[in-house]
Amino acid sequence: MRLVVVFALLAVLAVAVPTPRVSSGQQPGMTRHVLDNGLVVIIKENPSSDLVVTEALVRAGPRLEDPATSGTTFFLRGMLVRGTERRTGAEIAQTIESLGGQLGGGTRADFTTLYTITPSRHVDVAMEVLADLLTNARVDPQDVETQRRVSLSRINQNADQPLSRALDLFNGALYPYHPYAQSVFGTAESVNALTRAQLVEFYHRHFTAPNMVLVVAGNITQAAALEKVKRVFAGLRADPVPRRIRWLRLVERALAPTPGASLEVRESRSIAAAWITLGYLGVQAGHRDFSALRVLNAILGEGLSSRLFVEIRDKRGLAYQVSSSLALRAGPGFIRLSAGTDPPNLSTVVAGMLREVERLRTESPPADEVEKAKRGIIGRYALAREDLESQAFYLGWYEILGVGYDYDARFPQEIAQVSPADVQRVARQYLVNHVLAIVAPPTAR
Amino acid sequence: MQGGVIAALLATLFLPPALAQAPAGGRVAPRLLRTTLENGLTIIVEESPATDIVALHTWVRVGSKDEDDETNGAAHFLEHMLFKGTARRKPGEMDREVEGLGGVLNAGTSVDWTYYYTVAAGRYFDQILDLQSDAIMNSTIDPAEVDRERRVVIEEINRRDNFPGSRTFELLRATAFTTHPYRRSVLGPRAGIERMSREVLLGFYRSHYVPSNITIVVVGNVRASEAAAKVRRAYAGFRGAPGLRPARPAEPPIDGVRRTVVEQDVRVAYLAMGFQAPAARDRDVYAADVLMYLLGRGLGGRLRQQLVERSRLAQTVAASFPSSEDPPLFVISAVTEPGAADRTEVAILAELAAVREGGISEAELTRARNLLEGEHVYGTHTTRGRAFDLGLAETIADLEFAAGYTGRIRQVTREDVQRVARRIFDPQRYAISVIRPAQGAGR
Repeated sequence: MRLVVVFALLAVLAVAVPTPRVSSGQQPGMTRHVLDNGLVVIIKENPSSDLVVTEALVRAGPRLEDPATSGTTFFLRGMLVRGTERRTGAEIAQTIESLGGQLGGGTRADFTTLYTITPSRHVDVAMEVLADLLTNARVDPQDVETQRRVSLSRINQNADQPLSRALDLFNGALYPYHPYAQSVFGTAESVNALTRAQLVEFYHRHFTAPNMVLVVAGNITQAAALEKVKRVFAGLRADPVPRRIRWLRLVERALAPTPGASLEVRESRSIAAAWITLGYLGVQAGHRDFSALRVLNAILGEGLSSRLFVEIRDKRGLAYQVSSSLALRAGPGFIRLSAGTDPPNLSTVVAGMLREVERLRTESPPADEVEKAKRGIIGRYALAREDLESQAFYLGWYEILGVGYDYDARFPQEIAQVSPADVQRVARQYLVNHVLAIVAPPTAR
Repeated sequence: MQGGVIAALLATLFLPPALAQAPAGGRVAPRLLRTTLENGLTIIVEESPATDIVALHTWVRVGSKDEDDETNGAAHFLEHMLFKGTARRKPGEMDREVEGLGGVLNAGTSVDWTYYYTVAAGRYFDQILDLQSDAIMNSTIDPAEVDRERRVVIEEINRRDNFPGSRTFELLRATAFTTHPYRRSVLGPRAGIERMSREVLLGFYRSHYVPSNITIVVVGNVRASEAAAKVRRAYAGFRGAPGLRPARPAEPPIDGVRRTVVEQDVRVAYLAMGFQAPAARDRDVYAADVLMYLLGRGLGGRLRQQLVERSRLAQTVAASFPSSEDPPLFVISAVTEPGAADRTEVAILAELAAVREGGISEAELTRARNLLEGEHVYGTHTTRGRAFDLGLAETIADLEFAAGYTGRIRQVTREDVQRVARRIFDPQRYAISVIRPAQGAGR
């Protein structure tokens, strides 16, 4: 409710946000199509293994939920594999898995995915099952109660893991008004209150062709893939992209103001280690500063030779896990440092993290360190796409974020252009007023 | 030199392609080469010309099963020290070099093995081989670095214990094994790590990091003979005989139902049940793998269908069965609401009895076998996945375990699965660990 009011106000005041650059340039071996029902289809031929991945990405996730409906997308994804008008859950599993196929998926802040990985010869069946799930979910009342218990269990399991708990606290503090504050799993209150009718309404509103991207990758020709997709996915609902998604683009930067001052949230638990997350508000995908922030992040905390790893782990032995990550989001993202340490070292590690941040703000990074960071990003980028599901996923991810599937090919060039001065500039601009979230035993100092 | 190398390689075994089905795209079937050098080092290379990437793995036949109560955690601690400098490289230099090439490197330690991996663009093969071989042969294990890294290992132990799921598995291991070294944790106890001396680590390094204990695996965009020749050159001066390795005592059958229950600050109950199961060289291992998929893998697994979907006793349930050199545990794990752990244990036992006594259907066998094969094919379609598969097989059994794996899986019958279920699932002999909220706490 609060969110709706804020939306209405901000829609009036909305200032222009940088429009993501979308290029229509086709990439070798890849094509993009839009079906009559509005479904965006991306096809990538890759005959190096005898497999095909078919992956659907749907704009539905915490970004489109509010506190009362938090966890709806995750809940609904669990419902899809539990039966359609044509198939029971057991039949769905038996059909795909008997062909040596896998049916998987995930829910992220901006979207949810559902994919099949099968031997090439079984791609027809895989596509038919996937289309059935995306179009004809049964949402059986008995299954709703099963999934409710699964969702509640996931909320509890998440809270049982101190690092996950610290990440939730961090999100809550960094995004006091933006829906990114909410957990993928929802809260006990929201999940207990969800009804079948709400799930069905959410399904019909979001699981529509124009609100989806479908990627086919693997040992299949462009022509064969397109013909199959046109035939199998023609029956998706064609309703337009939900209004909320269109509005959110305009107002969400204003929903995520940079904190006016640094702030700290802390939860005490009887655990062996202290868990620290410390971060800053960042930018959305497609923003002109994204590449420079990515290089900054690599210098700071990606890999075993980053500044955080060397200073906090290698030189001082203060942590096992220490790193930083830059979120790639449709809305305002973040850069976030995290570490686990012995409770007596808590303040030393926080001070060490802040010292490295300050160093980035005050000193231009040496040119050779920037070059190494860029080579590392570009190299890891290729390695992360070695498996077929990742190849499909990244293309779909960029497309659904609005930067275009061919961002996958542009990204290395954009990284290559970042200079040391760019890194220092974005450090000064974005690394201000941190949010610090800690889950630690009460004795930790 | 070069001529001698080629002659030696000609004498090596060229195995048939492991994945026989030729993809429609016309990829050249992968070629697999295995050879053993005079010093005892084993080299395995598989050509994968469709990629620009190369994965380089070094597998060492040492893990926590080679430790005793005093040295528990040494294999893993030593794994950390191999990144901390050699005669030629300062601490951290190896990480910097590999990451500067756009590569990734890391390592892992288990009960049976320690492995090191680097993945990078194929053109950097020479550099990553130089780096990895230097670490394997010439690590200094500097005393000051040992003390610094000791704290990192302790942080890793803390991290493990903060995950109720992984803690449940550690408790299960300690509950199920009384005699065999699999009873000890891979990371070791915190107190033992705090006092472990550099001499223990050096002793482990000298006695286990010897050529006959090591396999180098290369998968990717390389020519097999050329890559093998390079590995041979890198390790030409490597010498050392394995230290004395006491015979590992066999674990007696579990003498009843052994149970460990821990109450701690959690909101749901985590349970794991373990049964003694066949080792990798046992011919029943293939049927046991199918049994794992039948019960607890995929959306269609029996335990999920019965316990999550029908009775709703559990919210998560899975089976796991690691391929191991000595007989491991076949584990069934579940997450339940706090009060439902006992009933879940009973329900799991009933499902195991149903397979033991009622057998399985042809449709279930097909699902389990094909999903297992499909996941195996997917897991080994990358250079790193395939290198892991080959290195693991060579280290805990032999290369045939990887090369013949899918063929053996296809031969598993319904009768095999039922027979192996009867062998493994003795309702009078198992271990169980439970982590749950304190009684009366919370809800």
